Amino acid sequence: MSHPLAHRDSVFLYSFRRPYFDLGAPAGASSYNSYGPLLAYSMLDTDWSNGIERIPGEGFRLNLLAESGLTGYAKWKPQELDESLRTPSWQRLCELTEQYHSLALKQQAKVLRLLICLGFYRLVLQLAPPESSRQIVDEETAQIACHRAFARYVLHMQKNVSYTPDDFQDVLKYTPSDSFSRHFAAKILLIFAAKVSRNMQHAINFRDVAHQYVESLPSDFDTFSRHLVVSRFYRSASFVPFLQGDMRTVEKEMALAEEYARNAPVDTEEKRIIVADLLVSTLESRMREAMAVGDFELAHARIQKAAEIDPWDPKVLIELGEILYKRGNVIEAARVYLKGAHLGPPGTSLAYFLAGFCYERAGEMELAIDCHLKALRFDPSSVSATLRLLQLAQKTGQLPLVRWAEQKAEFFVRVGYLTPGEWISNVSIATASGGPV
Amino acid sequence: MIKPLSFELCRTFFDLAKPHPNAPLHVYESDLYADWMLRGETDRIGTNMSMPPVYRKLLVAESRLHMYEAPTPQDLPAHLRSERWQAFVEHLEAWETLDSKQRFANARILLALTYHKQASGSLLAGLSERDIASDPYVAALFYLNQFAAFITCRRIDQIPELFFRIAKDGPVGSLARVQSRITISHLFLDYVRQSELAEPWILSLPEEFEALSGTVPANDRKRLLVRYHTLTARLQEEQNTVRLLESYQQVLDILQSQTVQQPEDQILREEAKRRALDQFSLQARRSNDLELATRFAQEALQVDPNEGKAHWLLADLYYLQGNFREAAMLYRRAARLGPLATSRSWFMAGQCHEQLREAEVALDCYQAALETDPESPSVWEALHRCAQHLGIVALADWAQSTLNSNTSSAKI
Repeated sequence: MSHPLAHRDSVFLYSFRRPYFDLGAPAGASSYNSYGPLLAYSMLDTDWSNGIERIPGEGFRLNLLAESGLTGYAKWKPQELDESLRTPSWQRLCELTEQYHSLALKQQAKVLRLLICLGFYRLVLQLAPPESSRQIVDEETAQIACHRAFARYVLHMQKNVSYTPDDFQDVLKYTPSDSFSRHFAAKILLIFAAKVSRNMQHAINFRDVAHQYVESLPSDFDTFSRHLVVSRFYRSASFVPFLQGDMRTVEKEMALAEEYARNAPVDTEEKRIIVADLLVSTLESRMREAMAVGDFELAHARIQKAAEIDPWDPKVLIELGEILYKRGNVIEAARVYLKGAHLGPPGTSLAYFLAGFCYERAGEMELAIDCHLKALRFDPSSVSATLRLLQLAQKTGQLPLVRWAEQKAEFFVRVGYLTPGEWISNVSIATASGGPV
Repeated sequence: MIKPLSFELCRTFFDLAKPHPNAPLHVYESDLYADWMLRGETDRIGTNMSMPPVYRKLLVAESRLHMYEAPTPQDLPAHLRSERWQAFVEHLEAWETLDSKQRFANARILLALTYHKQASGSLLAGLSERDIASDPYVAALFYLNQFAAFITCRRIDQIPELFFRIAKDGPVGSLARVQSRITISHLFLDYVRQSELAEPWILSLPEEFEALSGTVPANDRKRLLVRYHTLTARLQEEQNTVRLLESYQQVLDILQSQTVQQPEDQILREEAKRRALDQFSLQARRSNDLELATRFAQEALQVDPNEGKAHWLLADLYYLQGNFREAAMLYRRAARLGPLATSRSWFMAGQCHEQLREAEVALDCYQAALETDPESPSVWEALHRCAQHLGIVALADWAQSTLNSNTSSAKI
């Protein structure tokens, strides 16, 4: 239903995540990563270029607009937004985007960075030419190439389609060792080698390239930026010992990542936001590090700390819920998931689904059913929520719901989301284990 | 993609398709009238015209199926129409050429689909009030027209004069005459709240039913008798559980004596039973006999397990008795089953969860309530209270600022 009030101020997601709608400030408390677009905007006019760590993907923007019901904001380009809805900052972004090709290269890079922070990845691909990575002659052109490569990387990862990071390889090829863009590209390639292609030798090589930059940072490099660079480097670099099963080194490098983030000297509000965001991101990684060695208590403490630093990030709340569930605190996990769902994307549907799963384990079937129905509302193609709903409706004898969920499951089989065999086996596995499907 | 559950359950309201096997009984009203219209059976008595004018609109909005938004039946896009909807629309378009009997058959569908505004407008073109006394279908059309206008305007300070005129001057043995008397009885009881004024009208009904015997099938007349017994039960001012149970037994005996030959006989019988149980439950509740009220409501839910109203009537009783867990479950189920009380059910579910000290769940319910009724100050207040209690500052701030702006715009 389009929002019946059709008044943006009465829509929670608008006031909570306003920067993504029109570059206005959030009306009240918000997650630190909501300030990413505002920081990127403020950097249009400065030489300082630090930003937040947790940049959401395109799906976040799409979900945010869809879940808010404010369809007037659902645009693929900033300049498509109706003039009556634009703030002065948004108006400036429209002008910069329209004049993109006549801007200085440095300014082009900053505009691309802002568009990425807002989730306009497709537009970045349109503005920066495909040959960007082979036209690198200096740091500005390298930055443009990196932004384009990053947009392509994010869009491909999101779609889960075949992808090779050739453009990042080009950045390595055409940039000198003291280039920040080279360092950035090496980190992305390191993560790709570790998480996707699982090529240990490549991961080691890219880590060394990234490390070369860290080692050669000039002595007059500003201390705040140095802390950020080093912290982020160690967090990426820890993938190598992780793949090697060397958890002691992982722990050591992640501790350094956290230490550098914590000790970054903060003297402005912008820096406070950037550091808080980086710390949350680092603590999320440290939670996974603790989970990898089976230390759920430590994992809990770390993600709890992250949630204390940024209580308005749904992703952190979903991770906290996961730990609570693993530690047997099912009802508390459900409550945390619900809190995450109330804060909207990313992960609204997932948070509802997981809350439903916890309530089911706690014997609260009706709460579980409503959670799965809400999960389906925010993601109508959720096979898992459909199958859980089907079982719960059967268990509670709610025939209309049974029939409806069956129809959905049949539809998923027809469109290939689910094979008949998977349907049957998923249902039987879930019945046997009581676990999610 | 599969459409929402409320569409599946209440499909007939969207396009006059045949009801879902698990459809609540109220859905059969338009279904039966459409069938009877096509079969030319205009003297059958269906269910009550119970759904208010906003019903179809809410159903479409809550289902988010905006393509079914159709201010008039003719506005529904051709590709979304069932054969019955198409036939119905063709009759509406040829309205001037229809005789009063055909018009009556189609006017009933119009109201059953909750097109009250249209029914209160153009039904009577070319008809004269003078014919009320001589033509039962003209009388019925005037009755339907007045009923639609009354329901749409909700002017409860006086009962429209036309109802009295049809009740007195309508042809003896006509449905319009009987229906007007039933309506007058209800209005005296529910709006004017003077049972002594309702009493003569109620007591006149058995004789009026008798006069229908030449035209209306026996089963339909028996269901009218059920309505008579539920109305007489309302005349008991003091708590009288024994009398209420006697009335209920009479209703059961009447319904038991019905012959069931077609599936529609069964549906009509169950619907009559459910409505009687609703009324008896409300009557017991008025008499502060919550235990008996609960018994009736539980039975009503068994009869019509997919009816939202049956859920929230029982939930209200559990709530009054402090059984918040059961009440919350039923409110949630009611909300899932769609209008008319989606927002209210979510709100009440939230109230229950607050009582159970489950603030996160209550907050979730209040957010859901706002989706269907974003202007309810009670819901905003409750949302604010819960968000504050949970320390979700962002949400509490937003609820507070919305409350403030609503208050200031109300002052303006």
